[in-house]
Amino acid sequence: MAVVSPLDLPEIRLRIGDYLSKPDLAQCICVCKVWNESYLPFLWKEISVTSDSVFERLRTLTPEVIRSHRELVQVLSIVDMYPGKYKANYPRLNSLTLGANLPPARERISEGDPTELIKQNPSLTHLTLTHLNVYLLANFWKEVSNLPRLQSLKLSLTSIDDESHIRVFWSACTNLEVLSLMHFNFAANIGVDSRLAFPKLRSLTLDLVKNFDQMKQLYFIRQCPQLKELVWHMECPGHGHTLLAEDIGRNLWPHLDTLSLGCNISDEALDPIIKGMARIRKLDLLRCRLGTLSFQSLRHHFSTLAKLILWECPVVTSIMLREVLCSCPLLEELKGGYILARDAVDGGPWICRSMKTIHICFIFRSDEQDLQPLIFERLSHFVQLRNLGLGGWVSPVTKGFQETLDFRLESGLGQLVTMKNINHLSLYRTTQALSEEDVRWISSNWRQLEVVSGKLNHRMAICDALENILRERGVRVG
Amino acid sequence: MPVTLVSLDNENYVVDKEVAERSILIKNMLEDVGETDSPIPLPNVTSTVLKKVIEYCEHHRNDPIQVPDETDDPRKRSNDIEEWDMKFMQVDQEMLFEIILAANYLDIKPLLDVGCKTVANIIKGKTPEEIRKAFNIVNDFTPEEEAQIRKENEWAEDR
Repeated sequence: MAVVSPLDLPEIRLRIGDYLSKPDLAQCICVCKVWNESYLPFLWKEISVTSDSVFERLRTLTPEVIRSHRELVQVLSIVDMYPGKYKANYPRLNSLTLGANLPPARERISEGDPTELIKQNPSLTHLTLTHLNVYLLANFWKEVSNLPRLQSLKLSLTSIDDESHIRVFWSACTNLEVLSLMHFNFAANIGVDSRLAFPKLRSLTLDLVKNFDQMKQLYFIRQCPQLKELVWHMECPGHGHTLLAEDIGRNLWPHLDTLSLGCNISDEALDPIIKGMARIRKLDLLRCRLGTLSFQSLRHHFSTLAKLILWECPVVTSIMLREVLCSCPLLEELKGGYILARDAVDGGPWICRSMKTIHICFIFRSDEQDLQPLIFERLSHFVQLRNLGLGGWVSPVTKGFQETLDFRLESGLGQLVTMKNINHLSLYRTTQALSEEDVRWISSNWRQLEVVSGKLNHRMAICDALENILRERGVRVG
Repeated sequence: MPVTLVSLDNENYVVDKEVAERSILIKNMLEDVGETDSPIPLPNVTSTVLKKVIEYCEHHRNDPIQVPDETDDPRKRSNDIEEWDMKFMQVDQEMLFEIILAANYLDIKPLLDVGCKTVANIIKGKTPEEIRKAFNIVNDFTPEEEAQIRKENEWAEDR
């Protein structure tokens, strides 16, 4: 009996399409008409275009060609100082990202204006803008506020340059669920009209926003009662954090469980914030002084803590991190800091069985090399781990490269055979001496591995050869 | 409890229930009829293919049932096939196609995924002409049409 080809079944063709890269899809669409019909939507679903691309090929992705496939585009990302060139109705477009590397020429501003592009695409749910401040005028924000389905607005490295446009901008934000302002600059420090409400906003990022003083930022945060996630970074700590702690204590944001704060907040200032939270799921304390006082308060949240980021926190100790690993059953992500191998081995079992990302530095004294297999044994219980990093901490003594876990089979690497989902391995800022055998073991046991960062061997010539072994398997290295 | 499966060419295969239930089609059939020892006919699957499919299900009898992980990124990879599966899939193309069709009919998602990944790996790096040759597909584009498609999608070819 002649076999029917599964490739004749559209549902099988679509399943296969999930596994093909753009260059392969570009070949498939030329095979025949039914293949073209199946694979063209895969190829055009997400489009990224950079106008000043040095690749000659990418220049064939012109605004005209994109417009002729406009029915298929769902995600469009444009780096072009004249985004107005791409104006069209893309009926299925849900995400639009606009950016530029250079400011536009004055005489071409009307041609480059993206206002019309926004107006023509009421299906948009996500809008991300970088630079392009010359176009961000009252009219632009008016069209943004008319987008009926917009949920998420993210702005970075840009500004509103005219005071009269600020009010229109804030009005455009009142229906959002996600708002992010990063390295953002207002023309005037007028804050947000206190009559405006942001009833749907659940995720807010205010990261180095200029001309928007701390108190006015806090008043705005108070206007967002549904907040679940707050990222609030300022250049220097101030009274804002004290008042934030009071507001948190008064349960002003009953859903708030994710908090990211920066800028050297003291142990004393951090403590009431952590103490006041009804529940913490995710906490990011870049460069804050999490010390004995605030750590004591954090203990109340160990049962719910899923993510803890402690990059460059100067007073976090080895004993604290050990306690976190021994006490937080739901922890999925832990980054920053160091653990002395002796502390780790002497402590109780690590109970965070759903750990997905761990990036901490293990420190061994010279006479403690026999502890290496014991640390590997402990790590081997993280069977769901996807990201493993070992250079999370810069020693003030060695100022950089750190002797840490020795990532070789002879030290116990083989025990990590349990980690079937490892996707990213970072040895950045560590000193390693892997051999070909170790790398082949990694390559054949971790089938999900996609990225290895840092050096596999401190000797360059050996390292290059080892990297090539991984590249052959399609792993990105460097 | 063992279950008897009957192939298109009337061969009987007796397998453990948990092995047979790797197939969602069979699992649902067994649930519908309740406790039974009457054989289950699989009129779309020949004995050579059924033998192969049973071999797969035996090997994977204890695998956890796949649940789609929503946090996963939608990008899927085809270079993560397990070693045993890779060897299992080293068959001629006719058999590969029959396994995929059987996995589709019997609703064995992990086997269907491995089959589709294997086909994706055959497609990778090939030109349209090489793909047509590999799968015996007739080109129904005029040269002008093909040139136009190439031109409009040239941007995607960079590796």
